[in-house]
Amino acid sequence: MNHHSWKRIAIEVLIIFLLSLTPLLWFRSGMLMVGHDLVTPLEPKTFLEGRLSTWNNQFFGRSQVLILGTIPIHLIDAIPSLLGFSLQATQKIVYIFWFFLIGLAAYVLAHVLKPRSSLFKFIIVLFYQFNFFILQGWWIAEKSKFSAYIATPLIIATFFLVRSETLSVLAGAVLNSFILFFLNAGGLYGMPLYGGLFIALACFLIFFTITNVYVKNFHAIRRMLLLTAMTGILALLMNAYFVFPAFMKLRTQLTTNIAQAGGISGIISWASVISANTSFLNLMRLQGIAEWYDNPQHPYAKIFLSNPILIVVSFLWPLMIFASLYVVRERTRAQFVLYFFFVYLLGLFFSAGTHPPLGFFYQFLVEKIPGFIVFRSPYFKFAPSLFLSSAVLIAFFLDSFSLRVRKIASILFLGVIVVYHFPFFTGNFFEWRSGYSTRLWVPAYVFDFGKWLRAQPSSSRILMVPPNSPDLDYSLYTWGYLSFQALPTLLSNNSVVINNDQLNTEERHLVMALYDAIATADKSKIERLISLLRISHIVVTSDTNTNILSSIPLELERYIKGIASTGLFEKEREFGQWHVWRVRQSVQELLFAVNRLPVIDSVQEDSALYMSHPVVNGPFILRSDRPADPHDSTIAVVPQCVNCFKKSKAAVIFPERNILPGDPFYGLVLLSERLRKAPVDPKSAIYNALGISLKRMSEVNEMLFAQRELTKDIVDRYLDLLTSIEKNFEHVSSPQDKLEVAGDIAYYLRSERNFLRPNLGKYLTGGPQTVLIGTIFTAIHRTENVLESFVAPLNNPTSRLYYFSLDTPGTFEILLRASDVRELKESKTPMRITVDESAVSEIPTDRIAGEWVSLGVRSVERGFHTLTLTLPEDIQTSYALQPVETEFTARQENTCFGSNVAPIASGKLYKTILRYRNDFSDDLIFFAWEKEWDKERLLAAVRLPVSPFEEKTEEIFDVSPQADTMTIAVCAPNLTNEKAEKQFHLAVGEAVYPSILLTSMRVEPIIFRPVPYQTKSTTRYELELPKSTMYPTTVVFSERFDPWWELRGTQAQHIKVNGYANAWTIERPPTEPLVLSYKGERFFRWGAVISFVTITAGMVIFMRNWRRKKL
Amino acid sequence: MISQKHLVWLSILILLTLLMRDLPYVNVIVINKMWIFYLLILLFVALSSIKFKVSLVAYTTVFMFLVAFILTLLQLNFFAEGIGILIYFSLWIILIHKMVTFVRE
Repeated sequence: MNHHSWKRIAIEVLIIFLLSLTPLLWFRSGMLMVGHDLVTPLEPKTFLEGRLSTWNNQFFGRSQVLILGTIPIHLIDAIPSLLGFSLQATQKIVYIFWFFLIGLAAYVLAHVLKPRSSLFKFIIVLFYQFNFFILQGWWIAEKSKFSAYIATPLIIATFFLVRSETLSVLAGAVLNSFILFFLNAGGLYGMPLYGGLFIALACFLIFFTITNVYVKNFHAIRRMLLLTAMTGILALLMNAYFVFPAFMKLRTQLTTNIAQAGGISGIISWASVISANTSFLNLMRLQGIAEWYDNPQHPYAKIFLSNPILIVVSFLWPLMIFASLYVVRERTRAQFVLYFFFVYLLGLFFSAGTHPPLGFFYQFLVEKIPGFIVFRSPYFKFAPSLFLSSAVLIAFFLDSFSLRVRKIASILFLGVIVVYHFPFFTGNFFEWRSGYSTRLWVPAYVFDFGKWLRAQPSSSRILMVPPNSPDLDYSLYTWGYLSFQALPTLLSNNSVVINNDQLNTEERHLVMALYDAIATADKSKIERLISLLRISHIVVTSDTNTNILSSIPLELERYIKGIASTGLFEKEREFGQWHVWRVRQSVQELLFAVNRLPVIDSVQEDSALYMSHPVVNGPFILRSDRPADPHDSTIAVVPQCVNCFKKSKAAVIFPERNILPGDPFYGLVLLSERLRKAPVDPKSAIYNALGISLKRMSEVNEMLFAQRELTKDIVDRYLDLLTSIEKNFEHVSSPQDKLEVAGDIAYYLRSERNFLRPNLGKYLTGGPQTVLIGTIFTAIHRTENVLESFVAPLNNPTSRLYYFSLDTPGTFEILLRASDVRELKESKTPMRITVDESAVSEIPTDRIAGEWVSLGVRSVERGFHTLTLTLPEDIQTSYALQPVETEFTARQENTCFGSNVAPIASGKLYKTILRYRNDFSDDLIFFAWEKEWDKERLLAAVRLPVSPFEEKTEEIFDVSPQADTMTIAVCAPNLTNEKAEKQFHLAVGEAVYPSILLTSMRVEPIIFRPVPYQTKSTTRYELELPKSTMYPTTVVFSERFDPWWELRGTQAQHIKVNGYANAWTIERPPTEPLVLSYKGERFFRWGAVISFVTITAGMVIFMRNWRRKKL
Repeated sequence: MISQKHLVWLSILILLTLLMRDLPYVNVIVINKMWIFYLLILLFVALSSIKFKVSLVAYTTVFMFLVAFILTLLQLNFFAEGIGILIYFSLWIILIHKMVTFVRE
């Protein structure tokens, strides 16, 4: 390259840099980019420090093993700040940097394709920098997306250079791996963002393999394959610092992560949301972003969807792309055009995701190709291939004209690109919703609070009040901040706790229990919970927007009252609208030892229940967190209720059967059922048999409907299933499983009987067919009898059946939470408690007072136990059915009879029981609505089947917090007043599900001992047990439980305590110094060494290539 | 015109699709996508019946762009998107033809 070429390149790069100053138009005086998914630190240095370790103290501590790949991005965020620039200047520099890099990457590719045409290069650069895909990223500065977006043209350019033998394979692979090291898309979670790159590479390999095979140039094919493989290997090695620890962690976590995303079906549903508007035509017009169509407040989408001139321009893109196929004649360029057109078409397919008509194939890939589920947002992962190929093809199209026309057309086109993408220059795209933006004036007191927070010891833990709405989970401030990112996490690495998606289930239950205790000013419960969670301060944020949907109270006054009235806190500092309260009592140390760990037998969901009793006054272990141990004694048991149904059972759906017994293909149906692997354990085998029984029942029903003859074989197949269910039921060993399974079998069998019964008297009036059907009814009845002893207690409306198991015998006081049964206070009949079928006591309802009602004391042996609480009566109120107007009566097609139920209280469950005899309509439907002021919401619609007998349907409703009335109605075309009166009986009442707690009468005191320790880092503590320690002892470490925490220097068993924290049981005095460390850090260091060695080797190879002038 | 050999093959294929309607699992999985299959058969028959030229597909594609554009201006997006699907498949035909020509040259 001569001097003039370099000079031209410098000028071109300078122009790209000037274009990259566009983000300066977005910043307003004093405003910062923050909020929503925009993870821009408000204290970049501190934020970077936090990311350089595999463990962070925020919340209850959290592993960062899977997000180590974000280090390069946060390093770029922090560099200007480290150089002394202000926060806004830092953000400006970072924005310009990424904008420039996008242009530069496109420029590099354009230069490789056609080095001598400036206009050609600028068309590609401008189109790649200014488009709506990338603008959607700028709204929340998706640096991970930018990273992958920048890497794509650079890698493709390298592939072209290697193909043309300008670069050697090794140099190309090294160059690619450096690109993927610096532009790593944010690491592990950003990998899918390379979707566009994967398409471009796949097309490259396919296209050039085909062309080379035809000319028998196998050497070229080998080079391409070698380059791909070496790029992959070297990139993995260079990124080993995050790949290696993540691999070690994910070996065990992949299944859990898929389950958390709602399983495959959840991922497909999400992909369908993203793909709702990605039709081929929209994508060809370079549109299709879901947000454009489903957000009516979108800042600029509406004009692009409706303005005719903008619609005209949007059709120019596909026409020019299409035309490029015909106007480019020169062979080398035609090859480029064909390749990029291939990328374009494949990019269209993948970006369309699950959108019809080919969405089914994308869905198939998600279901069948291992790992493909990572592309759950198809458009956002694959669209870069579309935009890159569009940019190149349009550039080739315009470049094909004669010089004069080319100049005029290109300049005109550059103008069109800039004008068409005017939102880039107006900068109004940050306001994504009325009142909320990602460009904000952050109040000064937030920074003052951050400064104070950073000055706190790393072991402090601060609770934010009021909580987030648990229905939304995001933080919301009146000055326009809305984000799942808790604001203090952008300011400091110290622990700040608020209920959002960073808490795991166990922590969430405990934190919500604490919020509830503060809201109700329950002093003793607050004391226990702040000690358990190690809360040292509370920060009350008065600028929180609490006027939002929430299933818990969010009113600030309520929480302030709870904080001030209990005397447990004193105000320490005020930062504008943020007030910090300090906990008066001394806060439990991060590390301490206890002589014993009492056991609580409960599920985590009931933490609010057992934490409200004084028996729990120190660390504990949940029975489910450790197998039985003779050292442990159970101090509290929360029995599980078997018949406290929180929601209505799902209606049993009978599968439609196209192939019936006697059809030619029916044998295949049975064969495929037999070939399918049947579950071995009795419980699963029962559910499997129940599933098949629905098919058999549906076949019988279809045959009766079609007036086809039933045979004994057909009936016997169903009877065999019932026999198998009975046999397997005998083998179910766990008593609680027996209770649960019996209830489910009974429910299915009842549904099957009701499904078949309408045939009686209709298609069956007598003869051998009736006899056969009769045997089915008899068999169902027989199975029901077998289950009767298990099912009967479940169906008794006034009794609640609980179960629990004990590992060691003990004497317990049985307590009933008074608030759950307060409605029964007026009743004259006493409550009765029965343990293992022997009555313990009867309690008059006038003793329902205070927090707990004692139901007596009882010695309980080791093993499984049942506990039955008999309530005085089922609190159901009858309602007469009156004619009501509903949306279903509007066209006189139906008549509805129903009743209003009021008042109803939020947070409570309501049960409706409708007894009915439907001998008149196939279209009789039971409806329920809830009313909130003038709004009405349909809660349920249940079809009531025709039957000559009286039937019953039960529905349970969890009403919304603001609802004050329910309307229950039945509707049918021919429902008359007389029928409504005589054939229906409606009863509605609160579903009373009292919580029971068993507390041990023998509670030994827990002796706490401080454990002196030195914090070496967030992942390493050196500790020393005092000489006076008695063994066995348990060392508690109040950070989130993670199996990778290890205590070295002694033999210790790692366990989870307090439902969320780490602890180690040490049997004998340690012989070596004790070191508590996080294993992830070790993997991180090993990975970093591999990265360092590979980078050094890569640099050496590259330098040698450079010297040999092979570049 | 379609040859006798092709006719036999097509008849067998159509017969198979009819059988699929009654085949367990297959009837559930593929039956609602069967229209694509029938569309392809129709296209094959139609294209075999005329003196085929790829340039015809190119002109048709431009025409379809025009129709899709007008439909979009009229806010008849559903129909415009339907045309978009045809455009997409046409583009594949053109690309494959171009690639074959390019390799042969």
